[in-house]
Amino acid sequence: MLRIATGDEPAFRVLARRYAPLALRLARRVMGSSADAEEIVQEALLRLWVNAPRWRPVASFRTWFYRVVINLCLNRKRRPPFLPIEDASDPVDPAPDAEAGIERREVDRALAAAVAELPERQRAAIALTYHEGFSNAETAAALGTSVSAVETLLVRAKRTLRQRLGPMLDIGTK
Amino acid sequence: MTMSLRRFQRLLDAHGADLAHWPASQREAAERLLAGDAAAVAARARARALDALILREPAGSDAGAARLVRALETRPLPPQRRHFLWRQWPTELLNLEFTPAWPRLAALAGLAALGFILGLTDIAGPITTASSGEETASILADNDIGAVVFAPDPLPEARP
Repeated sequence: MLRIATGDEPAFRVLARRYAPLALRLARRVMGSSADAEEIVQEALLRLWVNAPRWRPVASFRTWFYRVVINLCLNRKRRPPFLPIEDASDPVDPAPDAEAGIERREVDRALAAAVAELPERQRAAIALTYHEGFSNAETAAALGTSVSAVETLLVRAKRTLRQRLGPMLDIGTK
Repeated sequence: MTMSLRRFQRLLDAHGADLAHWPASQREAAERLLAGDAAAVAARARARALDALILREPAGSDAGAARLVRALETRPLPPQRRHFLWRQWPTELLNLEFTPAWPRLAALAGLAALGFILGLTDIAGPITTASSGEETASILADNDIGAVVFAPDPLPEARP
C-alpha cells in the first residue's frame, strides 16, 4: 500500500490481481449477482487507488478493503435474481450415481434460495465468518459494527436458514 | 454455572458447532450440558449439519476476476487524491488519534464547565427594565443588544 500511495501502478496491479478474486467472491455472496459484484469490486479497487495516499494502517488491509466492498454492496440497490445456480461451478461430487448428484444439486438450489432471502448484512456476516474464515471480531471490524451485533446477525441468519432447510438438516444428522 | 438449552442454541448460532471456536468461559458449561442433555446433543448435530451446508455453497467461477483485472490493466487509472494539509485540515483534525482518550474528554468537560460559568457570569452588567421612552434610550446607550431584546417595551416610539 505504501508503494501504491506513491503512485506505483505496477504495485497496484499486483494487489488487484491478488485481491480481486477474493473480493469478487465476497461481493457475489452478498449481492447475489455476478454482474453487480464485478462492478462493485472494480469500483472498490479504483477507490483504493485514488485514495491510497490518504490510507492509514489502522486495521489490517484485508479487513479495511472488505469493509469498502461491503459498504459498496450495502449502498447499492439489490437487483434480482440471486446467483443463478446454473452459472455456479458444480461442487465436486464423489457420489458415483446420478441420483445422488441430483439430490445434491437440489440441496444446493434450496440453500442458494434460502441464503438469497436473508438480509444483506446477515449474508455478509455469513460470508465473512464461513467463507472468508473471519472471526466474529474481524467480521465486526469489516462490517463496522460490534461483536455482539455480529453475533445477533449470525443468530438470526441461522434461525432463518434452519427454518427453511429443516428437513435437509435432519437428513444430514442421520 | 449451568447453561440453558436456549443459551446453548444461541451460542451454537453465534460461534458454530465446533466448541473450540467458542469463548473459553462458555465451553465448560456447554460440555456439561452436552454430557447430560439429549436435546443439546441433537441441537449440536443440527448446527454441525447447517455449518457443513453453508460451507458447501458454491462461490461461482473466477472468470469474472480475470475479466476485472484485465479491464483494470488496459484502462488508464484516474489521478490519485494527494494529501494537501491546507485543504484536508478538518479531516485531519477528526482523524487525529489521541491515546488515551481522557485528554479529549477532559478538554470537552473543561469547555463545557467554562461555558456554564460564563453563562452564570453577568458580563454585560445588570439588565435594567425601562418604563418610559427616555429610559429605553438610556438603556440602549448604556447596555448591549441584550437589553433591547429583553426589555419589556424596548422601542415604544416606533409604534404608530
